[in-house]
Amino acid sequence: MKHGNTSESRRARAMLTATRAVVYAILIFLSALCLFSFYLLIVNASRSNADLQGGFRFLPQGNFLTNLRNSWNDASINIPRGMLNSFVVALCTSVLTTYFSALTAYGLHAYEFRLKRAAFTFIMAVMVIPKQVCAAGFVQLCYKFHLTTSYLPLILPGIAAPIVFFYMKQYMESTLPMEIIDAARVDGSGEFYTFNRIILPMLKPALAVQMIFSFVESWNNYFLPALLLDRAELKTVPIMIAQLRAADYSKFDLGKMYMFILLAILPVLVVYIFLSKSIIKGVTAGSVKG
Amino acid sequence: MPSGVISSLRRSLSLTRFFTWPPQVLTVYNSFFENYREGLTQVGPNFVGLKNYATLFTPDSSGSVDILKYAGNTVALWVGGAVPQILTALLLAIFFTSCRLRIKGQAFFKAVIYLPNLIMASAFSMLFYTLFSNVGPVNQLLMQLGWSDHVIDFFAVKFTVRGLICLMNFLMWFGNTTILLMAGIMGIDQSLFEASTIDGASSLQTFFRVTLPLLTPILVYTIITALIGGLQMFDVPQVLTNGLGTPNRTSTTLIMYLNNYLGTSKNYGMAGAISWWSSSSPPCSASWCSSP
Amino acid sequence: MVKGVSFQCCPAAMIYRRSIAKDVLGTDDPAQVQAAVSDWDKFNAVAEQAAAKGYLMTASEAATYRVFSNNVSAPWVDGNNNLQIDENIQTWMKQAKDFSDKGYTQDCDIWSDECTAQMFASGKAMCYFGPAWYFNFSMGNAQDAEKGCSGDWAICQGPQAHFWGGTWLLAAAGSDNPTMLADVMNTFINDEEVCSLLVEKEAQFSNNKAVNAKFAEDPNFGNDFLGGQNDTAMFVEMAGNIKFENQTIYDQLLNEGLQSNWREYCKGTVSEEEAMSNFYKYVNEKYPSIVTP
Repeated sequence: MKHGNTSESRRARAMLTATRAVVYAILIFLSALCLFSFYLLIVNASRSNADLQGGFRFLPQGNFLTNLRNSWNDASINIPRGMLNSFVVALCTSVLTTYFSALTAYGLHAYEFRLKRAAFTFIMAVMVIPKQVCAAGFVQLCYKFHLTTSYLPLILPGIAAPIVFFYMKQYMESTLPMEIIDAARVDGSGEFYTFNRIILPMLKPALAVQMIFSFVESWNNYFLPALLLDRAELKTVPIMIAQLRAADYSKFDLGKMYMFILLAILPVLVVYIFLSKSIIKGVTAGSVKG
Repeated sequence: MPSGVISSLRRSLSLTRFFTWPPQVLTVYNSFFENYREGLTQVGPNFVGLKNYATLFTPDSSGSVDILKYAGNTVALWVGGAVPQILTALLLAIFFTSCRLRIKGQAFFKAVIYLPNLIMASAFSMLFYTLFSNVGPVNQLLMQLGWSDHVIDFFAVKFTVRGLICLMNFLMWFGNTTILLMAGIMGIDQSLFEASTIDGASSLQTFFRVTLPLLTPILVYTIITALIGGLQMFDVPQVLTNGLGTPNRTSTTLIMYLNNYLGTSKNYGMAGAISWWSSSSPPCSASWCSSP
Repeated sequence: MVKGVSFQCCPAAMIYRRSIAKDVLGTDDPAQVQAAVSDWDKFNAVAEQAAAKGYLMTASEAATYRVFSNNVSAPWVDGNNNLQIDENIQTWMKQAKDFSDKGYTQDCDIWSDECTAQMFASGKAMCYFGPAWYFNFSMGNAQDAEKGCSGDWAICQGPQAHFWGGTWLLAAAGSDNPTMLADVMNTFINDEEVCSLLVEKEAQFSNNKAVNAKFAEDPNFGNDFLGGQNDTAMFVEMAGNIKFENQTIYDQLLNEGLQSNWREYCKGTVSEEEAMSNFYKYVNEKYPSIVTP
């Protein structure tokens, strides 16, 4: 800066530093709040059952590996298999959800057609109904169509996800100028080609974000899988945790339970860290000039 | 019209319809019937017209209408959690994307604030329950520090129970919202910000004149999804109060009320009436006034 | 036609801390303690004495609930589907509020940490109520090697005889192996060796009278947790006093509902009318056909 030492720029820099300090303070405070419960989870996963019954501790104890071994090898609750199941379901759901919601949103954003308003209102109306209400009818449908012996009833409804659609629509409204689409049309590219090769890369931040969210939601989903999956080898992680909670009271191992919860969260955390880097990468590649 | 996209649009819409329409119709249909289980015997479905709705809106012995009270609870809990959540998220999103502030360690902060969203709501509530129970560490700490001479029953006071629920909702969702808003801000053309700096706008002016208007669609999305999530609030108060909504059912939300009927009695009649009313009635601002 | 059999019998007792009983009553002998608590008036008087010495009588106001609810003279629901609260239950309600106000007990669920925390050696509760499976499996804190007090407990009948639970063996209709099923069930209830193992190794109370009598009369048989007391002998005596009348299909949930809603009144967060109103709402949600006032 050419005006290095004037009092004005000194004041401006001081204000900047002060602002930065306040911001860091707020961030650290919020991080502490968030980390605290997670930290407690790790501490509890490192304690034995008898120790946990006795009250609270704030420092990790020595039972971590024992609990890990017990949970991983538990005969009645096959957590490695459960994690695999959850991963498959969550991955397929998140990919399908994100792609089709983006497609639908593009359709409603870029085109004018007669029933546009009606279609939009319909999709929004669907969003408001609580899931528990639709569940009974949906389960009856699945049993009628013999869909309960596979992952399909969990993955397919992901295609119709009004909330993700809504986000994509709003995102496109704020960041997708029609000029691009017109330019692509003038250049002679077909509609699908335009969507897949030009529009999708521009939506990278939104896609990455929604993939993470739908992955997590699918991973943590307990309500519907519990109602739909009867085969033991298809059970996902939340169902197994619920089984643990409802298990024999006298053989209840709290240390194992906390370890299960920790194991249940870890893969999601890894996926999140992996995908969040691509948000930053996607931003620098996706901005439109001019 | 480009036929390829329209046909896939039709396909998505019809799938949406297939998976959600029949259940919704079934729900409304059920609400006109008396349909529940008693032990192992099934009563109904017998057509009773609007009797379920009449039961819903009959005042109890103290004169208050239950469903309006629960709607009021739901609104109160939502406001307490969502308003701080959205405001904080907006603030954080600006901090993170601001070129001037250049906050370091963003990856760490972003991972950390998102963490509570990963923990299942039920596990999170169990953790808070054990923290604040009568024999939990918060009480032990308060007694040790001498700030209290007896055990404080956090779950017997309306303010603390609601406060805890709002805190949990805030913690679980503010990271999520921050990331959403951040993605929104990052999608705004950088040249606009450069132009406003060249024009001499202060950061506040840039925020209100450039960022906010362009962010409006995403903000609208955030508020509406928060509203819908609030209306459907279930896991956190259910686990925290063990389904009772203590004290005196002041933390019972609409979906907890619905769930009470879907449990032992599998009362699809009442459940249908409640869900139809909750999702189609005007915003529960009217019931906010009924909240005791 | 026999539709199911039980292989475990659950007469329930008052499980008291020997050391606290010695301090309050001057003795820990089961017969003498029983004489001191043989009816509810005496029980309440002992509670006052215990409180004077800084103890709690029970760890939860709902600990005595089952004793009252097993001995009701009328069912929860009458012939016309009207809800009726029996006199014995009303006595419990009064006792719960009274104990709570005077500090003789805590306001918590019997399975909560607050209640089980009193089972440690440092705990102050004088007694709990439960059958064999309760003190063998659900009093983990009392059995803890470091902080527990195993051996410092004993049982007696308490103010009224009652039971809690039991395990049933049921055969599903349409099973393709009915003879084997009958054989399995027979073994569990009639085979003396198996029933003896149940008593010796699992410390349960079997339903085979002959086996129970054998252990009851054995002077060397005792339970370490109970300081060597022969619990089978006690249970054999108590089992004869149990009443099993006026049970309905609504019992479990109505009992739970009353306890949790009445607890709010005991804590003082709601008035009596509000607590009962909430209980009636609970009944309506669980059993729509029951008519509430």
